Amino acid sequence: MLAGLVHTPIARALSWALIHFLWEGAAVAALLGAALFVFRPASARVRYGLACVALCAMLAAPAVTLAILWPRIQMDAGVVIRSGAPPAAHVPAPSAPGPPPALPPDRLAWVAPLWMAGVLIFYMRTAASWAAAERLRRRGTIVASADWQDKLRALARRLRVSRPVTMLESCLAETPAVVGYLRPAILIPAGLLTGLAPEQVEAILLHELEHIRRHDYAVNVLQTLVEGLLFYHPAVWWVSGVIRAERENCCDDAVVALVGDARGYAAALAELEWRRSVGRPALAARGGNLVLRIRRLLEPQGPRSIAGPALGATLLMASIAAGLMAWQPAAPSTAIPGGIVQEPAPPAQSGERTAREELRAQLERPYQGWLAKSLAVQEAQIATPYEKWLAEDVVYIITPDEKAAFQRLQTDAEREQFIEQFWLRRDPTPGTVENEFKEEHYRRIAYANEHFTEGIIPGWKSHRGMYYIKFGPPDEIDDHRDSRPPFVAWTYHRMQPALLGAGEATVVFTDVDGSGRFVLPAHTPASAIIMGSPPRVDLRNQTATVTFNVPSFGGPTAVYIRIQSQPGGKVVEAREEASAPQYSKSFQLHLGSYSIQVFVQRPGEGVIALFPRGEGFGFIAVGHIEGHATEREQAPAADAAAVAAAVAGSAAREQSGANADEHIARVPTSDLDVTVGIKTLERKPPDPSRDVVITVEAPGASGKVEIHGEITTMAGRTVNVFAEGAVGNPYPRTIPLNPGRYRLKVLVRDPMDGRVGTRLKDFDVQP
Amino acid sequence: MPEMHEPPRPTDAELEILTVLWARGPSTVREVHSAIAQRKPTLYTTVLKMLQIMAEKSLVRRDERQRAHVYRASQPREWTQRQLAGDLLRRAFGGSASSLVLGALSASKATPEELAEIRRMIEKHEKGE
Repeated sequence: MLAGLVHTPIARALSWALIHFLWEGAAVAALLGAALFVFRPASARVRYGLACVALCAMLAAPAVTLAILWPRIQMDAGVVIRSGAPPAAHVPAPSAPGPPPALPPDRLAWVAPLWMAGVLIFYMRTAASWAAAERLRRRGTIVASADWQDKLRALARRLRVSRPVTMLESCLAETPAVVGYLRPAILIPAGLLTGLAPEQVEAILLHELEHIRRHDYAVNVLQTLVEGLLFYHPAVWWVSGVIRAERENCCDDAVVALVGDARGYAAALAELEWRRSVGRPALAARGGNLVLRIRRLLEPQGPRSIAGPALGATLLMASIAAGLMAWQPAAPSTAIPGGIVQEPAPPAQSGERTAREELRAQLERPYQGWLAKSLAVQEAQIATPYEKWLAEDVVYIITPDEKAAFQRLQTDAEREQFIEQFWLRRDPTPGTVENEFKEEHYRRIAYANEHFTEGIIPGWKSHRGMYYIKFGPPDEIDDHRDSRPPFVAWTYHRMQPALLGAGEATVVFTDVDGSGRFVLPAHTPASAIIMGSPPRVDLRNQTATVTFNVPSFGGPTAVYIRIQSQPGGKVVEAREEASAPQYSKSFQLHLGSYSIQVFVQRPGEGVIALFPRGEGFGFIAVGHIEGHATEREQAPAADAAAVAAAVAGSAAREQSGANADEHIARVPTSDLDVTVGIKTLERKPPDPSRDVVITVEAPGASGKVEIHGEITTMAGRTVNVFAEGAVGNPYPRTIPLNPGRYRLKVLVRDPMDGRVGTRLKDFDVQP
Repeated sequence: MPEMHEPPRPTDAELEILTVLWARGPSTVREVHSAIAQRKPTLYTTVLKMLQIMAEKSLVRRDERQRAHVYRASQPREWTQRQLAGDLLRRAFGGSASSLVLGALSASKATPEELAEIRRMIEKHEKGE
């Protein structure tokens, strides 16, 4: 019965169409190979498009062939279509009249049913894959935390992905992946969110979102269906492989364009692969394509190995076609695409050189690293003068609320109005025509562009420019360009707007790699220095002893201590190597007020302030050592030490905080009583965290006060830092905290007379 | 000792709880509950009961030193993947979702040689060559 079906004209036509596809597919693949070779430097998007067109052509080819053959076969009613076909030798001459010859037991006719069986197997496999993918979405997954969902939404907006995307943590997914088309979900292996750096997770999320934006999931399903339909042709698998590879390249390019840090992204991908392979490396020898992708990321114009597979595929196709023709001599002679075969060109030397130059140019950007990405993104998206105003002119001074409001505006008239209001709000003399604030702001931008331009980076975008525009000219500049590595320290006596409460801050810009660009310490890899404990200063017999734990770098650490009598007097310095875990140095000092700065330098790297505070700024708190001869003589040494500790500006971070707190209470002149009230408010269930209202009050202060605060866990991990200049007294602050035990340290300073008080308090947040 | 023999294959609901523990680390019942309740309404007591059952099955371990008991998964995450690899469909078709899902990494893992190569490339560029 099957034989009856097999020998219908449609089955024969189909068989022939499938056989013809052997050379048709080879020809399309060869054309694609040639096109990819010619378009070697083209973008991944172009190459992806070419491969997609090739796959469509492969799908169309047998359909067209079938459409041409079927009527002819029906007409010929069983006459072997190609007169020269070998089976013809066994049948009567085709031209012979008479009853339609019983079809020979033509082996060719079995091609169609065998093909159908193959397609069936492949489609069952696809269905199983689909079911598995759907199960992956449902089984062993939990919704990622609200923080991450928010972040994902922000990233999706940035990529202009309109569909809602969920982020699931999965215990079954081995690598981050996108599942589903209409309701896409991004699966993240459980534990990865806490295991990778947030910037790395963000880059991976951007990659996945780009897949969603490009509708890759749907394309991939269609592609899998085509593969199943034409499964027997290696050229189809090769073209499909090119599509998959270029698709990843497209997404990689999109990520790099957004975050502007190819190296960081490559490292994130590598980190991901290492995690997946830990203990269980690939069994298959063929491995993945990650080496190629990372090479492509790091060497943007480097040689691509596309010619190799293209050549291989072409040769394969050619040999198949040749074999087919030997058996079927009448097959069209164009089957041998020999003329198109190209020798893979040797990797061009000049090409390699430009790759390296490009890489160097990339590395020379001072905003290497993730912290720069916001600027890079803004740069990429600037189109209208209003966007430029937002992203360049006022980027450092606009508040988040203002920014959000501006972005909501619809018409240019509204935007003009907003900009006018923006400056008006800041005008110190609203009645006059001049807006001093605006003039000063644009003067600072011009000054920054003139003095801080570093290579291709305009001055306003350099780190020093950023500070100059935001905080104005520093009161002091310490030039250490001759040290190694060179650094420049800017000191503000009174930073406006005050980021650190006290307003006094030193910012260190270091030329980390000798490239002539001075960057903030937080941008150096050694930001781990925050682990180091702040220095303590002990005053006995007119000797100041500076003691602190040296952060362990596994080598000698250079320490630079600078003590200056206040206001702006003599400087005492010490510069030496510290190898012991604890560093201690004594200075003979006359009575008076001093400021102290401690710099630590990891060998071969940047200079790092010992207590960087605030996010990514790297300030050094500048403190005072004060003492009065009469008191010193009468009071026990501990009191004098307490004065120093209390006012060192770091008392809030002092490890022996409890002691410092105790001593301060006994120092008469610089004392400011501080009380702290703590109230816990429940949040809406099931949210387990609590809103903790902290009320800081200094009853003895003369008016507004400056407040530093820090909340740590009992293990010493900082969970919240706040610093406010000129706030009301008492000052309430609400901080969300998870249940647990915490330690609060606050330092209050009265700006009128410089008195300082601290308070340390342990408290519980009940579950 | 219950730790001596391998725990049974987790059910889907148990798997969800295990995922919370793998993703967030050792957690209290309240933390597990709040993570799961984000997607579907679940009673606190249900989660508590399940965690107790899972502790009996030695799928999780309970730390009773603190006032609020802290649970943690007794097996690493990879263990479940081996456990569930025995699914019929997987065995029949030798395939998995990997051909349809799109990931940042390809479905096939890198070989140790490739990993070494990747490490070398990144280190080279870190030096700024």
